[in-house]
Formats: sequence, C-alpha cells, structure tokens
Amino acid sequence: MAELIGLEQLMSRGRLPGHPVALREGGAVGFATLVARAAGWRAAFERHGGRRQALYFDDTFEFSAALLGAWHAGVCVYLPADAQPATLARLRDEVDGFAGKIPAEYAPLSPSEGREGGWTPLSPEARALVVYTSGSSGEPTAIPKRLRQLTHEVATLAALFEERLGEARVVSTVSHQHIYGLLFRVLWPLTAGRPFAAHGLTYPEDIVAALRQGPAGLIASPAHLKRLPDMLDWAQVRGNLRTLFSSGGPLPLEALQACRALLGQAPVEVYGSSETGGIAWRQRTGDDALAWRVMPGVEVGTREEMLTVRSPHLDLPEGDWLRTEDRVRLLPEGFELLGRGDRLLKLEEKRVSLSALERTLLEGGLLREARVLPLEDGHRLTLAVVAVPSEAGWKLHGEGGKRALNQALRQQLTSRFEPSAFPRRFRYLEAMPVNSQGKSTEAALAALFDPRRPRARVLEQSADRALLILEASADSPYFEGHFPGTPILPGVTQVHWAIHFGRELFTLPPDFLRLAALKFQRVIQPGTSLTLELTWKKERGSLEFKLTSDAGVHASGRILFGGVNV
Amino acid sequence: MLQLEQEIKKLVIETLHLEDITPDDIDPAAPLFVEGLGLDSIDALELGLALQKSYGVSLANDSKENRRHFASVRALADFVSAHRKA
Repeated sequence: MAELIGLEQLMSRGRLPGHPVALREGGAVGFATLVARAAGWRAAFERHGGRRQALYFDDTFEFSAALLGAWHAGVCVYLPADAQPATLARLRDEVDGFAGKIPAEYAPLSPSEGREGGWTPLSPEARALVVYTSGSSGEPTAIPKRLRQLTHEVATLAALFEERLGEARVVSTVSHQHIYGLLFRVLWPLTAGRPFAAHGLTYPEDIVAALRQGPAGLIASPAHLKRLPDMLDWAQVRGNLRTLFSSGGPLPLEALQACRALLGQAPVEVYGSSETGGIAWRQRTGDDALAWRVMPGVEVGTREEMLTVRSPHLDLPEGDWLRTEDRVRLLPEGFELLGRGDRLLKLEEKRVSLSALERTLLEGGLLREARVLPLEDGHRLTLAVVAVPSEAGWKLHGEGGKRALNQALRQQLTSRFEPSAFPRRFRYLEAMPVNSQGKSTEAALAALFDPRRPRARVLEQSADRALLILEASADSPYFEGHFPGTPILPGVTQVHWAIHFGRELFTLPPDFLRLAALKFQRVIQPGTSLTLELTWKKERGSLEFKLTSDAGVHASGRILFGGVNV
Repeated sequence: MLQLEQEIKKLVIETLHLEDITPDDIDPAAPLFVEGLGLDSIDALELGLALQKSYGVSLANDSKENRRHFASVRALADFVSAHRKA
C-alpha cells in the first residue's frame, strides 16, 4: 500500500511521477499529470482573482486537479450538486466565478499556462469548501467546511477501512459533487495513493464491467443497490469486489439482501450527513438489525430523543454539540436509529407533522412511497403529495380516475388530521425522482407542480430511449394568447418539453447547440393526450423526439447538445 | 338558478385552485366542507372574498347564518340570488 499523505501536504510532498492517480479508458493517469493539470488550474484561478469559485465536472480526475489548483490558489470551492439552470442561477450570487462543465454564459474558467512548482503546504484552517444539502424548507442550505474537517474525515476512513481495500481501485456510482462521493472517491484515494476511476458508473451493467477489470472498492448509494438486476453475471465478477460502501440514505432491507445474494457481501453502511460528516458505520453481514458503531473520535448523545454529535468532522465552538433530526436509542455498542424526527410545519397557525402525514398515507396500502411537501399556492401555504402508488393504488387510479385515489387518501387522513392539513394536490409516479445520491430533493418534487410542466407518466425508460404520456391540458399557461379563440400548443413549447424531459431522464450536455430536421405536422389542441418518444444518441449529442397522439404524428426533430467536455 | 350554480362551482374551483375536479364533479347539494370537497375555514374566507368581488354580496356577522350559506353550492346560489346587488 502507498504511504498516506494528508491533503495539506499532498502537492508539496508529492508522489512518484508515474504513481497512478486515476483510471480512464486508455489506462492510468500518473501523479505528474495531476501536478501539471493542478498547476494550470492554480494559474487560472490566480489570474481570475475570485476567492469563491463553483466547480462542476463530470470527469473526476479533472475535478481533482481543479480542486487542488483552487485550494493552492487560496480559493474556497463551492460544490453544487448539479448544473441545472436554477442551481447555477442561484449560485451566481454566491460565487465570483465558475469552472468545469458549465454553460458558456457563465464564462467557466479553463486551465492556463503557469509556473509548475512552488507548492507549499495548505493551512488546515483554510475555508476550503461549501457543500449544499437539500434542506427540508426547500431551498438548499450551504454548509462551509474547513480543510481540517475534510482531512479528519479522510483519516477516520483510512483508520477504519484502509486494510479492507488493499490494492483495489475505487469505482463509484456516486457523484463527487456530493460530500459522500467527494470524500470516498476523491479525497481518501488521493490521500491513500489509490487510483480512482475518472468516470462514474451509471447503470448496473457498468458496475459489472468495472469489476471485470480487476480488484475494486465500490462506492454506491441505496438508489443503485436496491436496483441490482439478478440476471446480470454477478457471480463471475464479485470476487473482485473488495469492499462495498453505501451511504447517502438508509439502505432498505431488500437492498441489503440483494447485496448479500448477488454481490456476496453486505455493504459497509456509513451514517452521517453533509452537515454532520461521518458519524457511525455498520456492516450487516448476518444481523439485519445490527447497531450503528460510532466512528473513532466521534461522540454521540441524545437530547429529546434526537441524536447529538460532537466530532472533529464538525467546526463548532469547543464543547458544543450538534443536534441532528434523527431519533435514536443509545446502546452500549453504539445506537439504533428510530427514524426521522417529525418535520413540523405551521399551516395557518396550526402545527402539522409532515412525517406523520406521510406515515398515515402509507398505512392504507394504496401507496408504496409518499412525500408530503409544502407549496406556495397564491398567498397561502398548502400541502402536496408526490407518491408511488401500490398495485391497489394504481388499480383504483385506473378504475375511478386520479380523483378517486385522491379522495381515498384524504379519507385516510380524516380521523387524525384537521382539514387544513389535507393535501390539495397529488402527483402519482412510477418511481420517485432521485438524484445520483438516491435522494428526492424538495426542488425536484416541487418541480412536478410547476404549471408549465405538463402532467406526464413515464411508460418505458432505458439508457438511450424513453416513452412518456403527456397531457396538453387546457389549463396549461402555454395556450394563453396562442391564439385567442383558437388555442394551439406553440412549436417552441413542444421543443421545450422534449428538452425538459430529456434533461430529466438522460444526462445531457449543458449547452443547446441547434435544432435539426424539425417538423410540425399537425397542430396540438387543448386536452390532447400525447405520446413523447425520446431517443438519446450520446456519441452524437443528439436528442431525437417525436410527439404523437391518436390523430397521428404531431411533431418530430433532433435537438443537438454540446459543451465543454472536461 | 342552474346557471348560477354552475357559475359558483367554477368560482369555487378557480378561487381555491382545486385540481382534478370539474364543475360536473361537484354535487350542488353536497356539503362543501370537510366531508364533501374537504374545504376548510381558510377556504371559506377566500370564497367569501371571491363572492363579494363577483356578486357584491357581503356575509353577515353571524357565524351560524354563514355556516348555513356555505353548506353547499346550492345554498350559496340561494344566498347570492337573494342578496346580489346587480
């Protein structure tokens, strides 16, 4: 195993030029390349002069070089979870500049010529990073981190798990744009001198292919682990899986069982959050209800049943505890998680527990998953439900219509809640919208209620093709004024919907380039039920769409995307 | 009267941003609150304002009376036709 070098000293001490840092299709990228790229990024950040820079990259090696270059230029790195237009627009007020795979209108920096050497150790006290959580209020909350918090976390991981990994490479389904991915697939490997894959794994097939190439540690999230198809040839490759990590959310029992059966081992589950850092871990090899073990250096306690934490992963005044939103029972060997604290909200002066509403909605057996969220509705706050119906739920939906299911759910709430707490709006989906960390962010859920978004149901979806049903409902704002008396859906809206769902279902490059072979064959009138077929040809950057209905084909065309491929 | 009932149904749907429901889904005789459409006291407030704006009718300072007017779409229509200024 290579020598452990803390992040502060990594560049000033260095490693051998050929020491493998990252793995790309072509082979290993050596430490000398990392130093050269980091020097270029350092020069670019120094020239720009802004102390707050947002980084968004697909390629984890290039991201690492930019991160190190930024830190050595005295820059605080802001890490957005995605590069969606709304995210970037909000970041614009918080940062001085952008770098990476970001649309040209944000003038992202690229590495420039500059001095090569002159690396000095970084200060552990440096304000190194700002990450974001999906806050329960809807707006993401910024969480600043000092460099020492990150190096402490990495040291904790190395102390606990270094030996399990040995000479393995690190591969991941989790993005480095999130703190879990950043620590496990970038900062820890850099410190340990262990190569990491520059590209993330998107599909289960990618995991199999990555394991076929040799010994690896897999950084994963429940989102992937609960969707492992059993028809893939796991038995042939699982011998190469040294260790499997799962974090970012609770690992459901069926996912744990799938890991044991298909991958031949239980994942090392890590419990913590962007705000708290790592708190505890466990590996449920045999016991499904095994307690969480507190990480070395971390102390836990309780206040009003809620877990409290004191740890070097936090930046709090001496002696202060951080209170989490998780209810726990402390045990001699660690603790047991009892669920989230009730999310309380005031609706027209009345306190409502969103968690209690969700539990009650699930109790009737009509839903498999349910999230309740507050929405601004005119000048009052009302509640909305995003849910995945069960078989019984879809049956009711099919027979009695959406309203029948709405009514049945409201009926379940009558005995326990006041009418003011009843959800007003409902969206039923085949699966919850999740990001690569397996979380359904409040923003993604709220977007389902945007009046500009047509009601949609995904019928089929694969890596390069999707089939949806869209309702061009009469109340869509796009029919207003287009045209008075004879409303038809504008062509630009049809293209917009294709791009919108293309971005939801595939990872499209940031920049729209042009349209090709665009045809509008038949007008779309209010109340039309449309089928949207999307085909994503990644190598050509081309999103093909076709809108049809019972009347025939309405429109089709190709939308071409591109952007800085870093 | 039927036409007024239809108008009030539309007003209820628009004022309260009700989803997945058309005027025809509302039974004019069914209770509006709690067990019927599941409306609450804030909705009553908003609906009162909308009625005032559309028909110039004002509610009495008598909650018992008001509760009677708001019992159903039909009761509202009766109330509006008896008190409307236009």
